[in-house]
Amino acid sequence: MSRANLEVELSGVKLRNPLILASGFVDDDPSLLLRAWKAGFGALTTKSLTPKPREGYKPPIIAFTKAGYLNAVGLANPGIESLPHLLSKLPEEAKVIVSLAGSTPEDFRYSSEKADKAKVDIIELNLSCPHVKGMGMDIIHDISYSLEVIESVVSTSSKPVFVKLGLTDTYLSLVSRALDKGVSGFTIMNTVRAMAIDIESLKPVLSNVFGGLSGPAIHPIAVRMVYEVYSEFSIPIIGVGGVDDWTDVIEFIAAGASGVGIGSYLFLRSVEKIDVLLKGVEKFMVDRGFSSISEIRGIAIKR
Amino acid sequence: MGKIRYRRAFVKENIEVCRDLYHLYLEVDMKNVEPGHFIMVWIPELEEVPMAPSLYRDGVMRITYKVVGETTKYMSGLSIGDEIFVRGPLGKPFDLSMNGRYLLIGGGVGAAPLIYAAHRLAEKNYSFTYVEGVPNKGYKMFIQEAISMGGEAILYTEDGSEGFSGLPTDYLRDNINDYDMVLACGPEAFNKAVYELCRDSKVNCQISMERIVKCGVGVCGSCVIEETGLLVCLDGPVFSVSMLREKGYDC
Repeated sequence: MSRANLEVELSGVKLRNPLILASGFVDDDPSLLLRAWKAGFGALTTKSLTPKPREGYKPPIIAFTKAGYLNAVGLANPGIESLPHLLSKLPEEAKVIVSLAGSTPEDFRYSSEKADKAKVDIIELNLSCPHVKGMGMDIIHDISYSLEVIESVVSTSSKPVFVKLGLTDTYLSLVSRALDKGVSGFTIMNTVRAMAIDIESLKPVLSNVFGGLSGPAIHPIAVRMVYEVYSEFSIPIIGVGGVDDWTDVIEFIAAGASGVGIGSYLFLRSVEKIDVLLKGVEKFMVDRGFSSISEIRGIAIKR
Repeated sequence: MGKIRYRRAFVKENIEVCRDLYHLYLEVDMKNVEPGHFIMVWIPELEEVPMAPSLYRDGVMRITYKVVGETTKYMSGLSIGDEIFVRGPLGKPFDLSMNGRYLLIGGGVGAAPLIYAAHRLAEKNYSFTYVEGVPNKGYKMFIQEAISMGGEAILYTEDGSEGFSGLPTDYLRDNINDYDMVLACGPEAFNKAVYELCRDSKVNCQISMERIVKCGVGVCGSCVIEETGLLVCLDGPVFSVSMLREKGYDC
């Protein structure tokens, strides 16, 4: 089979392909990150790191639904101080996105200053975790507070800053104002607050009751948001949400994404299985005569 | 679907073997659970914990567990007819396809999946030696059961109150060359000792590893075996010594 060029550029950062390990998936140990890099990802996103380590919730932390998965891990993470250790096994050429979570502009500034000194390519602000009070959707629903958080990081960081959006009615307004503050791009989207009840026990499955819905159920919503943001602003976007096969990757790119996050695809699959996605994307490009990803990016947008 | 959906499991018996050590017999439909698989046991409003069954036969699963936290404490109070919830089987079980001489070596409650493996080996008419290591004779779990299956069974107690005094790894060190396949399960230090002995010999060995399993489906990363990138829940819990070595368990 002849080959297509899968390289993409994300705010000046060159990736070998558009697939990005989404935050929160097999990413809290140096050997796991190394394994994911060797599996072929274009970039890796760390777990959302907070200024101090967090325990997270008790199991069950996941639940399965007909068209997706719920998780309520509770932002369990080893804390921002662990970042150099987390990245310690990765080779020089590995591309890393550090995801940061917190409650206040000071939390985010503190963590981003640490991230700035680490071998990190992009800083992603997780302002949209749907299941931790005061640390996620509570921020993104408040546009002026979100902008305070964004400004506290952008004003001091030397790295490109992405904001991870959740499902809100006002995200286009936030995107526009965040760009004015100097944000480089957006990760679209986070999971959607949801729950599952087990009918054997007639109880909520998740120990936290509520969690974030991911998987095929949210994919069309994420595609819509990527499409809307790209068609209005033509900026770097990482599309995340329910990628289940290679066609979903193409769909995100056609909607305007430069990178595509892979998360729930990894339920009951080892990271090496992303090879199936990469091969599918490449075959599609060869079959259809596309020589680069940029030829497909935003191609579906009606002008 | 069993990996993801809970099933009701009814308590048939909950027998105290010794202080904080129990056999829980559950009536539950899970025909495809093999020796080495684990299941998640869920007590709603408390927690979900991983367990490797010590037997499954005729619709009854036996779980041999030690009381270590609030969930297992709660389990110790279960009585006949009570219901709990399970999902599984999860992970990769022991590979029992080789026709040869098996050594089954368990440390403490880690003996649970091994006695289940012994049942399978006995059904296949494969020869096995079952070695169980416990703190004292009160904690003896499956010696009689292994003998009744026609296998050789050897007990080690740490205090010398019955059987040999010492650890089952002492037996492994002295007899390793008499076997074609070693199956092991125990605490981390025990597993590490087995790993080192088998790595340095030519014998095949599979070890069931223990870590904190939270999601059970390979995404949260909490059950990683440090340095190796291997996940207990998805890549294991049973690993060959050659796999562990290849991935850097030595470090």
